[in-house]
Amino acid sequence: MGVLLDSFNLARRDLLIESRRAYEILSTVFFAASATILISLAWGTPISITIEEAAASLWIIIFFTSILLFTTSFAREMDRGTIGGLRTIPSSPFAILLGKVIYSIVLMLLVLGVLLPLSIVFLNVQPTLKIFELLLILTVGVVNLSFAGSFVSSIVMYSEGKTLLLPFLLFPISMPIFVPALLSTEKVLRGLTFAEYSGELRLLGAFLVLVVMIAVFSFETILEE
Amino acid sequence: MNRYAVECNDISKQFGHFYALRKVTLNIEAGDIIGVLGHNGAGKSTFLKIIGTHLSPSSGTVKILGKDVKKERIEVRRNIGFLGHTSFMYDELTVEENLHFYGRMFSLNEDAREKKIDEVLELVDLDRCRHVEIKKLSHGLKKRSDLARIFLHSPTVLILDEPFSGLDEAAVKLLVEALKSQSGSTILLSSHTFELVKNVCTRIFVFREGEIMSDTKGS
Repeated sequence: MGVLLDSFNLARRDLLIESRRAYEILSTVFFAASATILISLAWGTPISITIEEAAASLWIIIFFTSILLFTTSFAREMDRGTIGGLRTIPSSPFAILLGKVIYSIVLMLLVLGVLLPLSIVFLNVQPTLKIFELLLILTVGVVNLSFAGSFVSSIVMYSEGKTLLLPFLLFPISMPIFVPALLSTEKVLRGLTFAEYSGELRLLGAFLVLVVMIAVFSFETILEE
Repeated sequence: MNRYAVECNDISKQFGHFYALRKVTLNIEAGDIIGVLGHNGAGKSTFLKIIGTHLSPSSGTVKILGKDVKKERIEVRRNIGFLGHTSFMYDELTVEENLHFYGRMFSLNEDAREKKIDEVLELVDLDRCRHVEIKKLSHGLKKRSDLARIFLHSPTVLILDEPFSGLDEAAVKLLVEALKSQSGSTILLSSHTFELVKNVCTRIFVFREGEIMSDTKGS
């Protein structure tokens, strides 16, 4: 309970800071929106975009948008020296990471809130009854990506070349997220049943458990100066 | 009740081949005000960061109020206040918002937080700036807001790394008064300036190349 409460307090602070720097989140949302429109234009007309292309486009946009968020996650704390403040608070190191994860999830869900309606218009995603299943998969993928991205962000925060290192490390690490998320998104868009994409969801769940385990055992060392 | 607030036993800190601290052993009695002096690179900050749980020693043990800083880190942190070289306050938040955040992290409930925030802002004479964003404050006022942060959870051990740097005379005087008002707290502060430390501290350690060169009584 203490870990969760601390994490929510940390995420709340980050979101309050983000609200004072609204231009940053607006630029991320704008990036997602413009990428959607550009991809649509590149394929001619939205009606000609296939289900495979729509699913791939969605996850490519989500991946690149998330990089914009993760580059500021722990890096900003490091650059401004406030990481020292996190080392003074009596919270478990995992609570600190979880705080950043919750903050990333909230921002990514905000991006999804814009991306999803735009994808219906520009990526030929059909607003069928499966929209809640699609939301579920996107959310599970985003949660996974937020854990992996926040963890990688903490690893690279000490490096001078963190803006280069983050996508460099996140790309291979997020492959086990990207592939099942993409496949299950495609299956949902095809109208397949839960049983037919539950395997991919299990893979996402297993990867999440793995990332959490690694973070629990290693984050204390990473956080230490 | 421990006689010693801080117990360091044979602590060393190594960064690669470089020894920042070498086999430092010392005990600090509760209520002492300790000055840590030394040139740049002498090991002052490393020593304070180890006591402040920011760094782990490569070897040796450190106990704060009888608790091991490595094994009981969270408990130790509840009892210490750490003022670093840089401000730990968030630029986009006001002084009050920052203090509320840190208060929440130290499990102070809302009523206790409100009361304590009023108290610490008065102590550092910053009440008039409570609704001002940190980024709009001068260096000295930022430092005062950071001081308010470390007093917030009434820590028993205060660790201040170069607290006087960049402060004008009035701010130094205010800081000294604030420190003196913390009766019963054990205070460790580092500085380059002997004169300042001599007037405030009850015991002074001089560091050189990661070792304690002298241990003398202060004022």
